[in-house]
Amino acid sequence: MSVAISVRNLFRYFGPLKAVDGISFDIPHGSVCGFVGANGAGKTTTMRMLATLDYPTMGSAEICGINVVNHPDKVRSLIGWMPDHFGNYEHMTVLEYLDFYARALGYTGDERRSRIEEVMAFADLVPLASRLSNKLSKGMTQRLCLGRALLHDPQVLIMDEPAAGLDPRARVELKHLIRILAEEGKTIFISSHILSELGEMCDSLLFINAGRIVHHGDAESLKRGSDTSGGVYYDVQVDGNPESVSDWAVLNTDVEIMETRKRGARIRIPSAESARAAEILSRMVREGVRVIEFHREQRNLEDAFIDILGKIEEGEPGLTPPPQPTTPAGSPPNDPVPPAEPPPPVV
Amino acid sequence: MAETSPSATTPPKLPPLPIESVNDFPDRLSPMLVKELRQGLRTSTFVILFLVLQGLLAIVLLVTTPIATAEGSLSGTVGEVVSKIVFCIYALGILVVQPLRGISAVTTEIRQNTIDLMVLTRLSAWRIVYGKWLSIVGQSALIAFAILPYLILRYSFGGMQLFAELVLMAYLFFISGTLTAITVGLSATGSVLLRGLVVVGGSAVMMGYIFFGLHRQIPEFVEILSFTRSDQSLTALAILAIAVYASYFFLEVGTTAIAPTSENRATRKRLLGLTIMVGSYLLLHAVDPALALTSALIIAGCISLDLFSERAKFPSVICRRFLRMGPLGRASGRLLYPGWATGSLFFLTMSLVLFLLIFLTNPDPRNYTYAAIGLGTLAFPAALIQLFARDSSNRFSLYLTLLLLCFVLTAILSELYRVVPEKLLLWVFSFIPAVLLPIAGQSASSPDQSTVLLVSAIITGIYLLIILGGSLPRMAALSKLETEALEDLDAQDLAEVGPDH
Repeated sequence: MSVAISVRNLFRYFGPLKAVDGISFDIPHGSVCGFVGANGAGKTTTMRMLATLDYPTMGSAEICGINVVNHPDKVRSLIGWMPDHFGNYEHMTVLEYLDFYARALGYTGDERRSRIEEVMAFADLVPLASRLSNKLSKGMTQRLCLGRALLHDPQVLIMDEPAAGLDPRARVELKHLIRILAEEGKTIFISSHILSELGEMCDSLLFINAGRIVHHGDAESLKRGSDTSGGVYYDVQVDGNPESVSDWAVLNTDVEIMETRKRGARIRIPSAESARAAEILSRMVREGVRVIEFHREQRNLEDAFIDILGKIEEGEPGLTPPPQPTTPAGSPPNDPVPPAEPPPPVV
Repeated sequence: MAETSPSATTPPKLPPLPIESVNDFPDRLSPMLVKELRQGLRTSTFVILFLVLQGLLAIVLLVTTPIATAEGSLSGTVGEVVSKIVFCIYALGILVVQPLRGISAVTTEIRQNTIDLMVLTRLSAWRIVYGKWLSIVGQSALIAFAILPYLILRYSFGGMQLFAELVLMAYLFFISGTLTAITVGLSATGSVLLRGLVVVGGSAVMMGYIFFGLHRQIPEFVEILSFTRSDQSLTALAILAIAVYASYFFLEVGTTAIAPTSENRATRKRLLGLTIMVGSYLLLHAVDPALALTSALIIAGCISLDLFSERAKFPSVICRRFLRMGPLGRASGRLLYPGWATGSLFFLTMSLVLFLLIFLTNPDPRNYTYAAIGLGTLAFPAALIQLFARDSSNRFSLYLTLLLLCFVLTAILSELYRVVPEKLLLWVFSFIPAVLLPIAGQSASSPDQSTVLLVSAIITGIYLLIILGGSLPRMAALSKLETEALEDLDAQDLAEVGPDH
């Protein structure tokens, strides 16, 4: 399968801050790739470089084989960009908003009108046509933004946190639209904090931490792959004080509390053997924890992500730092760039 | 055919999409202009301004018409008063309110993150900024046209020079366009302080001028613009020409701030600025040498504002076009690549060109003195930045603010010198060469003339040394960038030749 997005040793430094620190990955055509990472991990910076809105300190990035630094105009015709936050215009209706971007993309006459009609129908914006674009709900705004990003029918969609701040219904609607786009063969590179949703939507997941890629693979292999190394999870429900599980775990270091719950806690046991779980359960009961339910839970993506971060902190081999840039291109790493002000839209 | 009633499961009928409403503006208009007009014509600022102007003018005419009719022979005088009121109200609208609307034009887009979305379309940075400017100017034109009926009514009062007053109206409109270009351009620079200064200081100065200066000067302007005296007409035209260049320059400032760094806007700006400086000097010199030098220095000021404040970093792709021209291209790159480092060298070149022009046309020592003072004043803020704020992220605002402070200090000291003619006061502040202007303006035989020339030349030279010294490390970085660009070019050539070769 040919590659839609190719990144090689990409660095982006803002003064002393290493926002992106030598990442490399490929995303094949027609696939949906989730981009996961904590706040400040480098997701937005990477996506902005791919969208030709920022340019790398060093390294290369290509969209459908075209270099984002050398040929930004060609790349722009291939991508649709949804930023994590943006404002809408005052005194402008949804229809006028889309019309402006259709004109700005070079559409004229009937073609312009038909493109607008098409994206409005797809993103279910027809009922909102006469609404002012700055008076929309977050979900409607995201649909409008998606419609705008699709106006020129791009091959690759880069979506930065599109589901952030959406209510459950709007999230389902957005997920539905993304699924349709994926079925149409578009390559989608999407970042989100909601890992479970990404797992359902994405063919592969890319984990980034402190500017470095720490995992690239599909959701199932990620869950399966760490089943043995990451331990086993159990839901423990108790009668009475739910904190009794946490209190007990403080004294028993072979059990880790993952999450406190209304009626108990979610725990992790480092070994996958059933005998070990039985031994821990009996110890809990013996030591006064009034267990009424104890059952094994499926490992989720959040667990996998936390495991990976844990391994990095422990300095596990294979998760070593990337090579340091020696001949930075264009923007020397020691050049301070103000972090307070967003960088100008550069390629 | 029998009609069927909608069943409970039928989805609610959606209103038809009013798609034809997007044809309100033709396709040939710039998308930015369409967007800005759609928004701008609905903003309360424009609507209120438009209605208030109409209301005020209607009241003025309603009040003055009976007076003019009753007093008969005095109607000419009443007409003049009406003219002054109409022009003051008009000037307030288009010289203060309309330009101020530009001060947030690009900033709003940057703050709301919508500039990124626009940059990703086919709209170039220039078209974005130009479209914003054109929209405000278009709305100013609407205001100007709405004033016309009142001027025609005023014509019936008599004593009106219709052509000259219409030209004055157009002239003010033109100046409004330049002021709007300045605010739109500055709106992209990101300095709240600078924008605040423009809003508060600029509007205060302009309103002061309109209420205390313009109404007295209107008859004079009318006389000038009736084109009966060639020297005054030339001055008016020179001001217009500088206004056109200043408009272009400030729109370019805004464009450069939002343009991708892979877009080289510096070369054209510098070459165009230099050409206009030389051209205006040569054209005006034959008529008025002082005006020629003044206009050249104003243009040099605009060029310097840009030269000393461009961001120094740019990708190697910019070097390619220069490198394709061989050693000559490489050498010219040292003057024409973007960034303040090459800008420093260009400033030196521009200064030499100006001195050469003076040498060839009017080698009066006073002209050299004025040129040295002007160039030294322009170099002073750049030297300060080089010494104390080399890594500033907003050199443009810093440079402009320092330059404005220099002018303010010069104005204060000049006034003080007028009251207390104590030269020592000026010599103490001679590190800002402009403060020496009152001494330089004395008679040519004054013994201070040569001292002023010597001091301003030395000070300018020191500033140039500081600026050039600071740009040397950047020059070294340019060589690295060129090497990288050459490697890219070689790789491109290889790819074009193909694997068989």
